[in-house]
Amino acid sequence: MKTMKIKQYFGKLCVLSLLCVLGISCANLDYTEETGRDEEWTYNYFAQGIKGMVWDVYAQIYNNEFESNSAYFLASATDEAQYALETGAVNNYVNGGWSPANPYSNTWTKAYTAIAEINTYLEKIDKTDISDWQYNNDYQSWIAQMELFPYELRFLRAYFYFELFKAYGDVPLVTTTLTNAQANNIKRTPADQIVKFIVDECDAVAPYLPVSYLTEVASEIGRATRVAAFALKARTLLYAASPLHNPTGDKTKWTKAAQASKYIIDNASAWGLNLSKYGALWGQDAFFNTEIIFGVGRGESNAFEMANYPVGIENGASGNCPSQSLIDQYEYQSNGQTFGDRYPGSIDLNTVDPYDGLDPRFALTVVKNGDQWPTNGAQKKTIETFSGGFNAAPKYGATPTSYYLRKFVDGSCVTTADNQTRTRHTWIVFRLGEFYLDFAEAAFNATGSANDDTFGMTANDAVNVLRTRADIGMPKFKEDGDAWVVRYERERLVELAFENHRFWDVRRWKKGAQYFKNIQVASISSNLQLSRSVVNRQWDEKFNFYPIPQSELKKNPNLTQNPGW
Amino acid sequence: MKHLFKYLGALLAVVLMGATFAACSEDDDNGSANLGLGIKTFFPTKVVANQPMTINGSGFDGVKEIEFPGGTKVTDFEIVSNEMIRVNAPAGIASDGGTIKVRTADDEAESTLPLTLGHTKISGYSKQEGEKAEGGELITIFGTDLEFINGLELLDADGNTQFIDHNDFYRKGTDNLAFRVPLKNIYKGTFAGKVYTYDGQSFTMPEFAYEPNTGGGHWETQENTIWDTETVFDGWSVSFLIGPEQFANVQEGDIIRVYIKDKGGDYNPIFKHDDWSDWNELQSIKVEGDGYFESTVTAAIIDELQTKGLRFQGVGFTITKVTLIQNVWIPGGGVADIVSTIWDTETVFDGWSVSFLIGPEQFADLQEGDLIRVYIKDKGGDYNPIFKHDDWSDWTELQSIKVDGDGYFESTVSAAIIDELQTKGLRFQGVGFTITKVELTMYARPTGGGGGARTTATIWDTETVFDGWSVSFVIGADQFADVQEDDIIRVYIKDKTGDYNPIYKHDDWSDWTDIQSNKVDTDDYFEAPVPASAVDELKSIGLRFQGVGFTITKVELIPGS
Repeated sequence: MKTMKIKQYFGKLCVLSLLCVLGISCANLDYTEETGRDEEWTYNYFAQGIKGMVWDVYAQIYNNEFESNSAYFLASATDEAQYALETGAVNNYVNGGWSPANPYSNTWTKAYTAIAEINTYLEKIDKTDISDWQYNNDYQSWIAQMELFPYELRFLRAYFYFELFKAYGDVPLVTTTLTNAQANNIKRTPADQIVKFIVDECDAVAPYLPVSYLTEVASEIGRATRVAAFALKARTLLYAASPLHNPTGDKTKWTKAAQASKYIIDNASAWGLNLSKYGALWGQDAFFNTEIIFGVGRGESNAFEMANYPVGIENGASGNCPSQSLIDQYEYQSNGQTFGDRYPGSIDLNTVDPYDGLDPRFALTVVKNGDQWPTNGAQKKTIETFSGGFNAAPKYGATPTSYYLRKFVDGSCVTTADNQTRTRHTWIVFRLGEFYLDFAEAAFNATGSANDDTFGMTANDAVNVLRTRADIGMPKFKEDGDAWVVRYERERLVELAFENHRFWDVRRWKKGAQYFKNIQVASISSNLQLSRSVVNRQWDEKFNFYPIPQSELKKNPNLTQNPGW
Repeated sequence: MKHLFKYLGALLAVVLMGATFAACSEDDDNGSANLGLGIKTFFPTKVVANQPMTINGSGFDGVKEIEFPGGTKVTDFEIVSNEMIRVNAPAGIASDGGTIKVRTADDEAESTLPLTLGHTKISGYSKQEGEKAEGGELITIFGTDLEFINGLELLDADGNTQFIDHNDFYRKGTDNLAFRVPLKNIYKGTFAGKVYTYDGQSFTMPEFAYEPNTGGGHWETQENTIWDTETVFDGWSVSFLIGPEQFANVQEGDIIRVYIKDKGGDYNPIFKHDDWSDWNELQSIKVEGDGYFESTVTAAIIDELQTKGLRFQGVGFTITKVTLIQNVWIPGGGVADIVSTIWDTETVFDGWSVSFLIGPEQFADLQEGDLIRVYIKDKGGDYNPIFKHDDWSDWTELQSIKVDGDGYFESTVSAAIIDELQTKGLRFQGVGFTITKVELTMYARPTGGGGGARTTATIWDTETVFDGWSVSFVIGADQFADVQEDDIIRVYIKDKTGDYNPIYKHDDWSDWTDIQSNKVDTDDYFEAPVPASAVDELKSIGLRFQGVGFTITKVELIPGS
């Protein structure tokens, strides 16, 4: 018996030695689709090894969309906002600075790094052996978590393929570890197959993922749940049905998308999900908000506030400034007329308050001239965005739109030089509200009518659930046909503003030329006359997809570039 | 011996690393682009017949056949990519497992990893035979290889068979599986459900007395604090007891979670009976999380918890609080009491100059009867804490009903102070104590269904100026889910002008004469009882307001007497 064990150990020793040889002699340190973890260390130590590897994958969830040099959003590359500083990296998307040589986004690298780590873990799953630690107090907890990890990782792999699919369309489908030569010869897989892979994986892992981690051991929040898997499936099917990926207008794709979103709506209550107040979707305790299906929690910080507080508030850098194009889309509660329709030209703010009676989501999303902001007592002041005002031009970096961002910005954070305060932040990946809109869009396109209840709910019913929330109280949708599409696209912009949807929605609708070319911004003169001007931005149909990074094309002759790039 | 080999292994690895650095040249081809047919892994590694699985490897484009342990060959599978196959495990896999082989027309590859055959066994249930199982309740199945269960069968309200798919289970794991009894669509009576696995095994569940839930509501997982006095366990003499009253509603499967900090090298926490002997049932299943340890309540210990309580002893840690995590039925379709921390910066009140303000945003959803609790420590002889307005004057409404508990003082919110809290916030001043946190308990606001006691609910709180006939808003149907005949809709107004004329409307903008005719006015509000004829429409469409010459600040729905 003892001899057998010695043989086993010797066998392991030889294998490990060989792996060291293979791993080190062939590693190309410039190459991103490998991980540098030592195998024995990784697979025999729970907290720093196995769990650490899983956490490394979770850490890739947000790409550079949330880096500070774009003030954390893609919004300023859309008609939602104008970035205050011309030096902001997000401007690359709209000023011609975007190319295969400067692909800007790290989506390709980060997603494939995460996928490589996941594939490595799943291939070496038989090597995850922490039996040496069986007398450790935490052993049972570790075993319970390890039971879930493979399913969490498969969800995350599907998630990263969604990120790749929405950005690049066809991408190489890699489900195993590759040699460098394999990786550098791999071809792109058609987007439809990527979509099928994502959906199949979500279906496969969903039953094994918990609905909530509250009753799991080591109940970290922000981990993959069953609901997140269904949400990923539903959003993927919506994108796959959209004009960019469905040029023939195949209605069966819309039907599948509608059914997947309806499944979430129907089961939301049983899963403990509820629509929350709009203003509770962000802030210190948003992580516990029962509308959020999957969110990325970040520790206490005020960096986001510094990036988006108005210039004139100590350490404020203005960041993403809501555009007049966005404000124009908000409707009045009384009759559903839009701001843009009621006030298409200049406005004398001395004689009229054009913001009075607007959709309550406006005041929760935007800081306007005259508002008290931020909310913390140390910095609260009346915001002045008129020319020469305390928070306006000619101050360097002041808002170019006359508005500042409120949504997601925690006004309780103090950003003074001394006595700063910081709060937790939660970046929403999936929330219940989105799926009412996803369902509405899919049901409308599948049935051809906003009042068809083939799926047990009409598109208008779904939108009206959101519009009649107690804190919103907007007139109900009754439109159909083209008028419905216009109003739906407006509603989606307003509801999901600054949640990183607009950038992708307009692309999948193939409406970039309509929405992203000319952006209206407002300026307010010193005598309070609001006037409009147009910011021209670059738009080309090739922008619907990201360019494949030139560095990848150079390595792999089989990798083709997206059209136009 | 094992460690000796590990050291030897590390040594050998270092030697080999050195050797390979020398051997590695720039023209190394970094592996082959075409690895040929091969299996790297498959998942899961334990299966039963019909279990979906994936096989990963290379060269799969030409695979015609997969052979499973025991010689069973499968030709019906999906080639996802050159590196991945999806297949359902066939029947007939050898009981002792073995390797998987994939074959193309001219090649064959075999896995190095063995596939093992699972076999589901059920050892018990969280309920005993004959016990009541109410709609919405969670039932747990215990056993081994339970991940292969893919559905179960119960009877619906009409006595017909209904299948609960594994996507609808609450949780599916290897050694336990939980599902909820359908809320209303469950047969009222005693019957035995069935559990099914992928490979066609079926297990008859014990007979439970199923009962639909007649009231509205839902189950929620709640974490309630049952101990919140920070206690440093720096020696074996330290201990505290959580009284049996905290376990009055404890049930099997509930979790006792103990939050700790300052874990030392000698960390050793122990659950105890009140008689100081170790509570092995809890201790043996104790698991550690980040910042806490916890254990699941077993049926065997419930009696003792409810009569004697639970003691903690140990060394090398500090307990900050102990919570009980339970699945709780929330009646009335409303929401549970919400306890939120509205201040968590420890502040030492060592002089009258110390103060802090909790901003009005923390009181946005406040209602009369809610509770503000202020956690304190280091109470000195000069202890004197004061609730204040933001203008620094004392808040006598709160101060006069302040009560002191161990480790906290608290006050109930009166109607008179809500507006000010919501616009200015709440300040604390005083001397002789340290505030560690302030909690706001917002008691359940029913929004629908039946069952729970109905209380006044704010159904609109956006201030709206009715300065012309174009102004209007609608209160959604969801706010009237629980409305009953003779409930009062009270509309709070201000800035009443000479042309004052407020109108209750249907959502289609026509006047709601049934309500309008009963409208009464006072200085601060107008109100009307809900007639029976309006109930259905309020529940399905909601209620609109229009008018001129006033400003609506909020609308309340008051249960009828």
